[in-house]
Amino acid sequence: MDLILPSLPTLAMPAAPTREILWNIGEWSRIALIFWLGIPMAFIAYGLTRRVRSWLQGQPEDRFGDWGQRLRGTVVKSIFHGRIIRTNKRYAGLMHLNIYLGFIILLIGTFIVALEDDVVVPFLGEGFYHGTFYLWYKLVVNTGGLMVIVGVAMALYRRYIMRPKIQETAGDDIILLGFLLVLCVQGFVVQALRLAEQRPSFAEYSYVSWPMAELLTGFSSSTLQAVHFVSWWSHFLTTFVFIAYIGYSKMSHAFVSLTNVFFRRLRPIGELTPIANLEEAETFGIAKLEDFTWAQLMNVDACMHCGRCLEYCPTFNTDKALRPRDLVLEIAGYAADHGSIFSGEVGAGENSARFRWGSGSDRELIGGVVSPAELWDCTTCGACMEHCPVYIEHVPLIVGMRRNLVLEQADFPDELTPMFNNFERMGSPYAFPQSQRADWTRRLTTPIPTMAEKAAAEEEVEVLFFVGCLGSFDSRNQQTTLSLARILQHAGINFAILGKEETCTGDPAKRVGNEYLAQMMAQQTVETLNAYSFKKIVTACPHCFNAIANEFPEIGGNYSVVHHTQLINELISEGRITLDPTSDYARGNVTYHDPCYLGRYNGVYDAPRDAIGALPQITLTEMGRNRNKSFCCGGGGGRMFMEETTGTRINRARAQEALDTGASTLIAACPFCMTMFEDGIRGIDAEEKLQIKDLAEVVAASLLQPEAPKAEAVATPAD
Amino acid sequence: MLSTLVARLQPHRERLFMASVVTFAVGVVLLLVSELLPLHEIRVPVATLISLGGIGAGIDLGLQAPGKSRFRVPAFISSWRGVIATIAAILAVAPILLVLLIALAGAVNDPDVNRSGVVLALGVVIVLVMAALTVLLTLHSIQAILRAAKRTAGETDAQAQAHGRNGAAEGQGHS
Repeated sequence: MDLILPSLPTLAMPAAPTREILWNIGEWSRIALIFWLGIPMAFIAYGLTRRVRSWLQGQPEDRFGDWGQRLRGTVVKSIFHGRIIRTNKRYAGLMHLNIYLGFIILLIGTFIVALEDDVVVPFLGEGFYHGTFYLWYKLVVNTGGLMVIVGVAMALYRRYIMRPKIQETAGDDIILLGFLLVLCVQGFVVQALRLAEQRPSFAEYSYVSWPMAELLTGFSSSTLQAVHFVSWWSHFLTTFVFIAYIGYSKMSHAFVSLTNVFFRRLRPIGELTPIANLEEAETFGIAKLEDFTWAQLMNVDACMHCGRCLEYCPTFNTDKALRPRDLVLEIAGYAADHGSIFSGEVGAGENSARFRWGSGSDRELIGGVVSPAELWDCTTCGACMEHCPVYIEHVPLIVGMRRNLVLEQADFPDELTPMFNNFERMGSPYAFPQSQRADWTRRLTTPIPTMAEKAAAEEEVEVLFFVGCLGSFDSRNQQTTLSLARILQHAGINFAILGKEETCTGDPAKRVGNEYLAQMMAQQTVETLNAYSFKKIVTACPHCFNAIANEFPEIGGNYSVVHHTQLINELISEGRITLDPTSDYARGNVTYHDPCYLGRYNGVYDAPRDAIGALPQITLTEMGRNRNKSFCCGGGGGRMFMEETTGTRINRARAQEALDTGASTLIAACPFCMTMFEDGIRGIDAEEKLQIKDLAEVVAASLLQPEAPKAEAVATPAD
Repeated sequence: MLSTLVARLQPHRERLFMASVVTFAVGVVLLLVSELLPLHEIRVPVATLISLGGIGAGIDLGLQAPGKSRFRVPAFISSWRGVIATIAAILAVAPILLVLLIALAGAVNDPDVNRSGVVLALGVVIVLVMAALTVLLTLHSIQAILRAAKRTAGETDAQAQAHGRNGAAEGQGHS
């Protein structure tokens, strides 16, 4: 071994603590190190460019501009782990932080050594890599390496012992963890061998390697040097292979995920981008690779299959076909096959989740790669998007493919046919004529004017009460409508309704992919609203609220809109309505369900809770899954109009969760949720134990001086 | 914006590749000069030139339209990639496992220097943890490598060969 080792003298320890950089390695090794640098660089550049090239097969989409906001979000949410470490994700978040921070420390440590050896010493003659700096450097770098090893151990514990049901372990995961571990162990071993050979007095600052070095002190100097030389080369080659591997593996997330976060959609998540120039479009929705936008292709490429999208997903948790992660990976595999990212290269294989389904570019996207069952299962609740650490947008992908099924292939569940027909004929998903829209007002003692009447009388209107289809026609939800009207009357608010002029906002049609009907309905509603003057709109339907707030501005409808829970809370806090503290109706243990389109889509979490809190005899017990972790009722995305035939029924799962809190009343704030829970509570035979009420019903029945007798306010659906 | 950039780059790609090769070659020559003269002041520019040469070549090849490739991975590498990667994995961990074993033996060795019992015990713990994790992950990684070398689900023999994957004897994937 001595023959092949360079004949470098053992470093004589100087007074100030330091070490000889590339000790025991020799000049030719240094030359080889720099010479081979080009190879991993070529590999990583190829791998990453191939990905970008693949994304560019997609349609244009404007994700440029607002650079400051993009950069801030990337720094806070990704680099500082704001979206990775979350309250219920501390273990996984800390695991990632350990590996990430440790890796950064080691990277900086390597650059410091290069700076000393290749810049400072050659140019200035004297370096900084000694003394106190050196001792701190050793402490910090040892900590960095230890953090990576601890992070890897935590990852292994999670994958093999904890085994959360959202977790899926692919070969790529293990190979990557193997790389990280081996690189760090190699580093510590090389350091320990050097310390064992040199035995410097300050070795303890390398607090991980030092105890290892102590074990090695009994061996001869030549043995230690020989093993050190081989270990150093092994470390160096492994590092280069790792760099080359980055572009083809999960490790590419360091670039791809950051890019995805940077180019994330900055619009509200409740806003679905409409099909532009619908009348002139030749293709509709997504049916092949070129139909995706470049940002969507980047989206699916950024998925690291962490499974956070599954945690609160109603379909995953009730054993449906749709698993958002798998859907994204299916599309990623499809894109990889068409993009030549991995086909025929290292990385393709059955073990990799990413490429499980990617086995040939001749397969149709819908039907061959993604099953229609997956697409129709989605409730568009947004839990996947809310919890994805890299801002993947699952719902637009699903709705995009639904659009193709509906508009091009006319292939959709049979149950949607009457809904589409009703939209065309009646202006709502229900088979009720528009002339009956305001029939519910007959049950009020004080009549409610319509906007047309107000306009004819040239009277101003403060609030336009947008009732919505369920609130207008569904007997159960009419109770909510009546209650809200009574609250508004009680507060003395000058309000009016559209009456028979009101039409559906088009939300259910839009979510099931019938963009043609959706745009027609939305346009009609905007034209009606624009004909009148009012200060703000209030609606009891989060779906209408979302459409008016987030989607109507795109088509010329800019209004101030509030959800009824916000308005009720405002009226209570301003003292415009007074609640009866002794109300028999508002007492006992209740739980509150966050509607997806109100909470996750529009961030309204506190207003309903504050309003409930204003009722002194009510105790609010939260369900385990609440606020942005709320579990869908199963009615969004047009699902309320479709049969649910596989797995546990979502509404029953959520009703059971409400029942498990011990509450006797489940308070909701959405007509879709009301309908789904009525059925869900019946489904679990809990009608005696749990009742479903809208917040407006509870508040209206507790008004101190109700305009109408309480008996009327708590009228049953049969009323 | 990006598409425009890539489209503009396309006509210059031949030049990009040649420029990358030249940059790499100049870097290698300067590397020899810097180390043999010695002229260590130019090490950073040299390393930069060599890296840029590699990056340029990688970008050029990466910009190739999907489905087209200027260079193909030689068939024998594709066929033997599982074995090659397994050997590489073993070569990467063998030296450190050897050192870790030597270190464990060193715990009962009796050198002429004073060694703290506590530090030795700590050393044994560190070495055992590192060795255990390394062995565990190496075995799982090799398993994953061998699985990855198999063809993907639903792939026909012809497709597998076209993609440079192993033939019919290999196992099927997930459904």
